[in-house]
Amino acid sequence: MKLGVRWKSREAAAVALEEPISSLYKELREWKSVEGLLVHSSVILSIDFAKAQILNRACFGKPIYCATSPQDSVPTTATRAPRLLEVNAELEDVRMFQLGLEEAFFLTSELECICICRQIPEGRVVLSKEEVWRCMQASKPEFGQLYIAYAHLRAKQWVVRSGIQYGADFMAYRHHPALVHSDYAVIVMVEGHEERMKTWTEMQAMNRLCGSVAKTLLLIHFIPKREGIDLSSPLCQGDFVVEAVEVRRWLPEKSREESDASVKPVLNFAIS
Amino acid sequence: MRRADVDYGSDGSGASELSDDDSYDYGGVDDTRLRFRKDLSVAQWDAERGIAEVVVKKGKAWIVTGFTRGSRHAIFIEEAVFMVEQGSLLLREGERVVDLLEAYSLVSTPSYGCSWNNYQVYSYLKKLGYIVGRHNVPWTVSKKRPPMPADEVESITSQFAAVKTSEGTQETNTACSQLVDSKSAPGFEVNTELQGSESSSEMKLMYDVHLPNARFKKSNPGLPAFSLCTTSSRPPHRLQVRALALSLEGRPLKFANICQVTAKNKEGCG
Repeated sequence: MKLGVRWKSREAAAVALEEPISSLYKELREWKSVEGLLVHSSVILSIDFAKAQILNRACFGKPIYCATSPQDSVPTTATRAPRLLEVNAELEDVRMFQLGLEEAFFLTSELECICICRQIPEGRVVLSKEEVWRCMQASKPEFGQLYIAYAHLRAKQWVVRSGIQYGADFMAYRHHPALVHSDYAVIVMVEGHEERMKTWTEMQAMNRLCGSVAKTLLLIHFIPKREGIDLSSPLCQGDFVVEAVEVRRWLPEKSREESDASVKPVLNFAIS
Repeated sequence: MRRADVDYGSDGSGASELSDDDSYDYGGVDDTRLRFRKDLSVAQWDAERGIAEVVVKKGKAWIVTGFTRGSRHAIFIEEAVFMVEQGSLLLREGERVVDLLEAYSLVSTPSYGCSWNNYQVYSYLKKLGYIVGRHNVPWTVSKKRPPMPADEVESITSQFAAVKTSEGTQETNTACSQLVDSKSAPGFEVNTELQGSESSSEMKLMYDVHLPNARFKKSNPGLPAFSLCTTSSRPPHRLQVRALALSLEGRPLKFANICQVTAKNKEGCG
């Protein structure tokens, strides 16, 4: 068991240790280029149950509740209601999954298990990584910096989800949220362009919010290595140094008998 | 292991918000597949006009979906995609069937007046039972209602001002021409063009939303409970809020922000 990990139960810990995130990544890498359709701010996958289960366990995306049916059996007469699509038809084992931009880019770029395409009048065309990056950057201006933080944490096998409900950029979990309490609320800070955490009031507000839901605030700083970094290419990831800083409130009146050394944070400074 | 941060609960404030972590389920993937309905409606997608004309109408969903002009019934792309997703509509383009994946890419195409984010909002509200229609597109046109005088049309036109936050310039939003065209033309000459790209800082009123109502009538829908504007990655600037509020003449206005939805959003058949 890792220090500082808060499992929800012994059973949860056992499940997680039996199927670590690294093993799920390994299974994902074995996929043979599943196609994902880019629809501006999401990527949609059409996959079978087994793949949907892996995505769910590794905490990528969410399933879409939708109707599936064998479309080929539809009669060609437009005016008649196609009664062939009735109760007797077996449901196809097709699940629609919706991925966020960061999730999709990580799956295509790091795990290389999906390829992202776009619908054009002539059909579907597969996009290169650079094209995908540019499209994603165009639909979400902060995509580049959010992705670098996302990939940084995911590469260390953290499960990363949206943090908007807690006023953060991301939530980071040591494993699936069903098994473990989230450790961190993550805020991304780009050196020189910080938009948040500029006052003690805001720092305290965020800390308070995190505390009330039992999470720790984690600031991920991006320090550019040089001037004029071009965010329109995925290669810009190498142009930043990443530093992670935990922020906790220390209460002197409650710490007289115990030193800080007894509380070991999982992530203190991580520099890449 | 004692953690300093749990002390925030002791003063009694701010500790009521529960974590969403408990809503996740590990391993089992819910069956998210819905069955197609026995009686399927059918609609023909017209890419040129950006609408689908209803050919076969089945079920009660049509009471709160689509717009009629004379004897003809049509739906916008988000309405079509929603019904396909729910398994109550077969969408065709000519002889071939438009599958759900293709429908998703159609709904995110700006030239049909919608976008992926707008569709998410539409779909979410519909599943909750709200009655959602495109802003300022009449559900139906009655011959009994007198035609709108030209100067009234003009004043409505000028109210739809989109304000760009960066340059502070004003630009007339031609989305209001929907209102003019739908009354004058015999067919479905509805302007579906979404002005500007989705990432533009301009904000537009997208939907008029009515509360769930079993007695809703297109011929007399009443005023919407609120009008909705979907936002880009930034909250609206106060000038944008003011311009949009003015155009609604005091009627309620809401802004929607799309975030990544957690796995707990269990959606049922609408």
